Amino acid sequence: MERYFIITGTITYAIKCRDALRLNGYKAELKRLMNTGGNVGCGYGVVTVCEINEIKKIMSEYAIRYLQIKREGE
Amino acid sequence: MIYFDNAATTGKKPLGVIKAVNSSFYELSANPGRGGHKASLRASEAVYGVRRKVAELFGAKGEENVIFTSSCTASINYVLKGILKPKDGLVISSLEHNSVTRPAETLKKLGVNVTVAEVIFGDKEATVRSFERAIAPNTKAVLCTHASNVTGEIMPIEQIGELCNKKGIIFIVDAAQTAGVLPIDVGKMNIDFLCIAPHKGLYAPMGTGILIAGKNIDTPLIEGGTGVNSALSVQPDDYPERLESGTLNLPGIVGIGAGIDFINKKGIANIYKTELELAKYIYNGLKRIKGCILYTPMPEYGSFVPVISFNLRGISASDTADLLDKANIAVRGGLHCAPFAHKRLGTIESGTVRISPAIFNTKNEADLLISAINSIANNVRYRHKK
Repeated sequence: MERYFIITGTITYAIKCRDALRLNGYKAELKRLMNTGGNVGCGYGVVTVCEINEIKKIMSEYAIRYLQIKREGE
Repeated sequence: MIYFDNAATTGKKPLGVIKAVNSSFYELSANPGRGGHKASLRASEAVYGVRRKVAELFGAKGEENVIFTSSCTASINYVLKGILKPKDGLVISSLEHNSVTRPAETLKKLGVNVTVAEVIFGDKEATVRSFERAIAPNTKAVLCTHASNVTGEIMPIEQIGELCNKKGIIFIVDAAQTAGVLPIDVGKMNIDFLCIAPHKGLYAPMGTGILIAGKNIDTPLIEGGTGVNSALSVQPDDYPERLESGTLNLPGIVGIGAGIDFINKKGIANIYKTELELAKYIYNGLKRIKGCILYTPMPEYGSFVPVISFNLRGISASDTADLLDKANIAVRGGLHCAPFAHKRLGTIESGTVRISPAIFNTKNEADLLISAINSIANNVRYRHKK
């Protein structure tokens, strides 16, 4: 499994995302980001080790809005 | 001081609330959602934890639907001014507080059609029919208080919610007097926006407010820093931050969390039953006082929250409240910021004296209150005889 960055627009969704991943048995940590991409500025994200499809499934199940999911190093 | 003005704010706060607020200054003194350092993240986690408790208590879809504001009034303003545009219709009840009627008046000047649905005392079905008649093709939203802050009457929120849902109209509820006293589930009751005064029934500190937003608010009333998307020149789309510009009242929010823990432990049903029993006891005591005018029937379970309005013949409401204050008993005299309700009661000139017990009030305090009111009534009668 690879490490992914799930970038959210808000700290609320970032915490919700982390908790949802943890509830599903995945390690997940919060991260402050200086740039969330698209030149919109700072935000928050979650670093996790999980399959991309599984991440997407969890995000959908918990109605978590995110800006993008990036593989580490991308 | 014996405090019976809990409809304005609960005077006594649980020890857990005081401790939580106090410790927030030591343990959570950083700006939530504004940085990546441990202290800021800890503060963010604390705020999120309270969002979760609020969401669970009121059946909100998610934590992101819970918006922290500065008061219930602020929450109402956020919704009304954020969703209504010229030519839209707004229906409000005839019991509304100034927190509703004043923004409605401003919106009227901007071209919003405001209609008042008459509340029919003691007849919930007739009240619902009033709302049905007031709804027009351009009605975008209906706003109704859950319970009057003057008489304590509980409104048929479920039925009005159902009506709005059927007609595709936004339903807004002012739960200032009921959150923490009556069970509320925004999903089951078809409530799109729930406005809450946590410093009342949730026993949180003053200066706090909650808005549960189930729908989008087109125009945020306040715009500015949200801690995210700082390079964007416009307000972010995601909730709750879209409506939470500026630094949050973290000590107050932590107090809300501790207040919810308190009421969960006591049980809302138990709180309501205890408070209403005391209200009934006071009502019975007042009924026996010669010259005491009561404006509602006995506050029965399911029809009233614990709020009693009265007057004494021959003395104004404010003078009665002042004399009780001299006896170290706090009640509120006047119009209670709800002139609509007083017009209906015929007390717009005189106002009323309002007694509102909370969970910390005792029967002994109620006896002292009744006795003090009886003394005032006796003195007034004696003065008038002379």
